[in-house]
Amino acid sequence: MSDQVILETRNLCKVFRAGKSEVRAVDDLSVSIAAGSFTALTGPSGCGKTTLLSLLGALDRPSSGQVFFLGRELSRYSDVELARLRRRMGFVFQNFSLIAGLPVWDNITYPLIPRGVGRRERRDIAAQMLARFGLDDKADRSPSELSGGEQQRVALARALAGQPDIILADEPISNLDPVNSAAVMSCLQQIHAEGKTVVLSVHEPAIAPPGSRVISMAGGRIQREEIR
Amino acid sequence: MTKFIEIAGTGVTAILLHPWRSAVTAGAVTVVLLPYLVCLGLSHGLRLEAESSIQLGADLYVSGIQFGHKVPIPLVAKSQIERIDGVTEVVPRIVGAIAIGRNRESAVVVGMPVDRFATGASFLEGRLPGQNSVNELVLGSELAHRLNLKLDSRIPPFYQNAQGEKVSSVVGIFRPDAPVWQANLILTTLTTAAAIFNQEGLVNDFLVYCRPGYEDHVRAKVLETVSYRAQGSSGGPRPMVIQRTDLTAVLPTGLLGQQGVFELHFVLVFAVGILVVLVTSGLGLSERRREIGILKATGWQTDEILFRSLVEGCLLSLAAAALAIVLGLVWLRVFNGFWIAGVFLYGAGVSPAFRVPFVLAPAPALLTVLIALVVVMTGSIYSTWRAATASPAEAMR
Repeated sequence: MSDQVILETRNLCKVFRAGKSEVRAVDDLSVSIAAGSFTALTGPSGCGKTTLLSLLGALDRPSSGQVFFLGRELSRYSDVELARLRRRMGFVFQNFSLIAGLPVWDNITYPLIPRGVGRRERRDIAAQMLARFGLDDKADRSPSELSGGEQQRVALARALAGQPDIILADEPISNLDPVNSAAVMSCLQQIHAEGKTVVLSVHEPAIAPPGSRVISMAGGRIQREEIR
Repeated sequence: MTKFIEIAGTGVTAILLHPWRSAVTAGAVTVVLLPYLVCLGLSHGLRLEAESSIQLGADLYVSGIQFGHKVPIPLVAKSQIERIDGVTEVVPRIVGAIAIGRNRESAVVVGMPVDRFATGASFLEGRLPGQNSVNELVLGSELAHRLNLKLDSRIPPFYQNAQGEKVSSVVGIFRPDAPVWQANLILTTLTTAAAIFNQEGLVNDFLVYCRPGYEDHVRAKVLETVSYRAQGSSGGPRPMVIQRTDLTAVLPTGLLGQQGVFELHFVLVFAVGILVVLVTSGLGLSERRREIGILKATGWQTDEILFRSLVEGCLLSLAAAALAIVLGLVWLRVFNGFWIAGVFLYGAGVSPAFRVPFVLAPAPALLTVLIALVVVMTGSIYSTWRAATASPAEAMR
């Protein structure tokens, strides 16, 4: 882990409005993520973990406050710059968010298409990723033919295919059985061991690997932080 | 370049990813375009036949006008016209409308010297009426079909004049593949036509053939010298002369009148078509928004997503236009303009018993492609743009 801060938020707020009522999903939250660190956001459902990850990953715009990526504030990014920034981040979604109908190999390398990577090269990259995650024989399968654990590993492979600086994983194991959960967590630890920054959200702090930073959230705020 | 080719490839994939939505969109556009294309084909076909008829017709049409209306003129005026320098031939003609049969079917009686009609014999089953025959008729294919008359059929008296009632006989029937003008025609001799309308000694007009370059001279002379007035009378009709160029000039106006339905349909194509595509784009909209959200979240730019959608829309438009063109050809050629010909051709009925003229020229076909592109693009690009400009989290929610 280096001293360089890759992501930082200052007084971050995200308010969702539904009719006359409003929900402060993230409330005046300031946090910094060091490059190469492994950070686990924990807390009960509705505490703001997913919203915080979306804001950190430039998938959503804050209601107020600031998000910085390598010192540059995201609100200063144009739409094109934000798209290019997202290429430096790998996002793993709780519900996998794979494109149904596309074969697994295409799902993994779809983000590489706008980067001008040709079909043959994409197939090679997908093969490497599938081998790494133990899915060598699933390249031409449809996501619907895979188990939940396999789909999540495909989602991880997609997040890594573009060689991002940081992986943001939103409850990647909440839909998985213990065996698949362990497999996915093992993959994330392996990614971290290769020097990537990993930020994930989980229900249980105990799942966070030893040495990781655990941030407990409630009501959109940080309640406490600890190193496991 | 690789990037654009690859993104274009994803546009093709997108069609296959959502086969039902693609099929419904292409189908909806085809359904909207098809009648439009068929109408265009018919109007072009009719126009070409009309132009051809004008070119093969007389140089001048001399008739009479009185109180602003065309009126019959005396047959004896023929000799006055024949004397004009430059005239090679004058053919008297009777044209009149009648209703015939139990269901009062509309028909047009044309009476003229039969020898002038020799070229038309190639379109006939049977023969032309005899030179000096009476009550021998040649019927149009549509009329014969409606009246259920065959070659050598006898027609009970359908007119009455000073000579009483006469039975007529069908000596010829135009073949269904003959030009469209014959459909509701009753062709006969001048004598029989005069008897049908009980107007002995009168004709509707003279078809005047001139030596090349004499048309304007003959026209001027007819207007100057020909008189339909009886001796000692100060009133009576005045000569009216129509040249071939006059007929060609009025042609677009006449056909534009027939194209009223087409013009209306043209507007409907845009209004209904865009609505239809917007609705079909809405099919699986949440799935589409989610998919676009995933693309944005994984680093696709808005313009790249729009390009992908553009390729998808282009291909769907081309497919819809191609399908419309093929179905249009089938409708006109195989089904002979079933139903739609009746919209354009008065008296054609639901299933015409004559060859419906049509031309599917490149220009209307290209126009069809263009309309399909505009309709699909307007519908699909808008919904894609809405989803692509939302934040990825919102699109995926």
